[in-house]
Amino acid sequence: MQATALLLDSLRMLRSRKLFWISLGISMLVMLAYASIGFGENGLSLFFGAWELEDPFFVEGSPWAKALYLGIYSNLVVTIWLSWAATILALVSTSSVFPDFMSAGSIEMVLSKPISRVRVFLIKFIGSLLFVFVQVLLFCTGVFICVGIRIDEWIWPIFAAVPLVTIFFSYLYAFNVLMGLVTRSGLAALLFTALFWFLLFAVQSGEGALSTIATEQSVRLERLEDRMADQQARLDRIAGSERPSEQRARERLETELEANRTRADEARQRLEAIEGWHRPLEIAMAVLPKNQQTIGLLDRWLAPDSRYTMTEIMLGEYREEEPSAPPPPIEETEEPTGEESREARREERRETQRESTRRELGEDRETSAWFIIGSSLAFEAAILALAAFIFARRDF
Amino acid sequence: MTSEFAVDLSGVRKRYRGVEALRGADLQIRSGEIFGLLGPNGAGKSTLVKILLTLVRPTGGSGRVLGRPLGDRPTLARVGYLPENLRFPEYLTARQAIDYFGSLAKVPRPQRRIRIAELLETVGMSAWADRPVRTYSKGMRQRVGLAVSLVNDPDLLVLDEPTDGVDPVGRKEIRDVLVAAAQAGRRSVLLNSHLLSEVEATCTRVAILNQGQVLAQGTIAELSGGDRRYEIEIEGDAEPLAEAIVRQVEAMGGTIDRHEGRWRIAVPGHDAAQVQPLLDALRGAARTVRSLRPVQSSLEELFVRAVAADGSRSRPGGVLRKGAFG
Repeated sequence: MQATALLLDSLRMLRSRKLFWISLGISMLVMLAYASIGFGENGLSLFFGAWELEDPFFVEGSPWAKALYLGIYSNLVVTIWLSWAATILALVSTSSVFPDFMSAGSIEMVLSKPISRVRVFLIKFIGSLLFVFVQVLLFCTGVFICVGIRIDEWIWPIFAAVPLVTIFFSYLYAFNVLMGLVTRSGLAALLFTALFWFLLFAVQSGEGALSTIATEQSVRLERLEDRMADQQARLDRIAGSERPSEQRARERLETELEANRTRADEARQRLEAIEGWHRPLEIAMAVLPKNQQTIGLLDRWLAPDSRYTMTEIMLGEYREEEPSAPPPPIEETEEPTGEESREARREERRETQRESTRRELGEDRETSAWFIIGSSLAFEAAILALAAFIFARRDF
Repeated sequence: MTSEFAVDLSGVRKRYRGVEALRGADLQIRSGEIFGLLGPNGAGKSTLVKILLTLVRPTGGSGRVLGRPLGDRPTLARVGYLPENLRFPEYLTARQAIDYFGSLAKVPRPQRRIRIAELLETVGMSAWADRPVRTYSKGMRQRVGLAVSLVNDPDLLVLDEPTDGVDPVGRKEIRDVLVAAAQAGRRSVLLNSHLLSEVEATCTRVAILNQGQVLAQGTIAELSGGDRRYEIEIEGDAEPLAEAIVRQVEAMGGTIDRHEGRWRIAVPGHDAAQVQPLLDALRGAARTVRSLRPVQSSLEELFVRAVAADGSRSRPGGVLRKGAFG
């Protein structure tokens, strides 16, 4: 009875806040824009057919059209609108909930009732999460209907955004509540939460960037090692030959092998240096809430078939008929021209980037959802425990 | 309720970061009485009230509320509270507010429905029951607060400055409601107010708190027991009183002063027979006695005197106790 009363009060409070309705209004506009994307016989259309884009891949009923439509939802709509803009509005709106609740003449009315303070605190916290929960639930219901109509498939994992975005918001809101309790000011709590969010963003971006660089270095090193092994094998094949063409090839191969050895040594050193920076950030990431990864789970759950994903679309690989071929072997007989060599290096760089992106995404997908959410919630639980302790011990 | 006392506190202390708000307060509120808590600003009244309601944790001392130890949360289901500077969530209506706090006080839903209608009628807010609190005046909010504090039909009602900011008519209405509430169901009421006239008109017993200690507690008659006196007014202050009469008044421990063209003699005493010799002497001196009346100190006089006496003592332990009034 008491929990229901507190939750009902939270709902009434949300309903009374203008930002709740503003946020809901914008959500509806975003949903309308999403609903305006369609697929026809010749390609995709935007704004209910006002702008058409011919593309043989994104036609009605194609798996790529489905991947694109769901990818826009999970990679753009959820990531940008729900996880950033709507979260900021929710934080602004709920930041003052605890400071207001703790103000003189208000808190006494609740705490003088036969209910434990920790219970009041937790229910009040959960009640504030309703701000996001209700918004995302309504939004996802709309998206679910849009997807059902557009691609003729009822995809229930769309609703995974409801718990994921709510959990994402709860990481930040737990910190916000702690700051609200300490400072008794909604504005101060909001500013501290912004700093905390920035810290998380910096750590995650830093870790992500270093991880990408490290993966690229690893791929480059592996390719160099493969090439060196290949060059060594070719050298071994032509070791005793007296033919002038093969002698020239041997000299060239020896020069290239030596250069590659030097490059490999440099790459190893760089990799070690990067790992030295990457490891502390990795540890910090393990402890701190993983908000980006939490939202990233939605993409994973929405596109379990790895062949048709937004990543593949963004990499542009859906247009290739066959998987990318290995780098062409070096001609033994003819030296490449300068332009050919530059183009080969550019292609090699592109392939290295594609491969490292593929690996990065693979690694991301291999990270357990339990670990991502569990470790983040553990951090949140620690913050909440501290806040609940302060709330329960304070004289009002 | 099995205990004689609804509230029984002994040596309750509270220290806030080096400041001693309560320095061993003793307080007893009998079951079924309206008890007034008086004290100047910063005396520790609100702290004492908040300790009863588990809002503040005492640093020391012991006590019982409705027969249960201080800090016992389930007991709060039998306590009603109206805080000072009450603030309701602005989005609630009076009906919703009473229902919400009734739920928190564990009043079953069917009972709540009946109580809400009754209480809205009692506090005169039925017509405004479904309008949001933000549209209410201060007095209306206090009335709703009073209804909220009564929703669980409490055995102990604690009211912290209930008429603060309310106009005189509203004050009278609130006083009437609380007296009726106390009389119905033998409810104990603790009234914390700085309005001495309000306390005097409402309370059966009072306690005076100053610098964190209870200086005195009892009925107003008990507290002013040693301060009853007779005042005699004599016509014509242009004509001096006879030397014998002046000496007789001094011998009785009385005082003489001029008041609106008359002599006013005040002599301490409980019994009218004590002043008869003085009246005889006045008649013998052919003085016209305009009036003779027994006088008892007002609560305001008692309060001011007690606080002033306490303030004049520098030693923390040197507080004025009940004996000082008796």
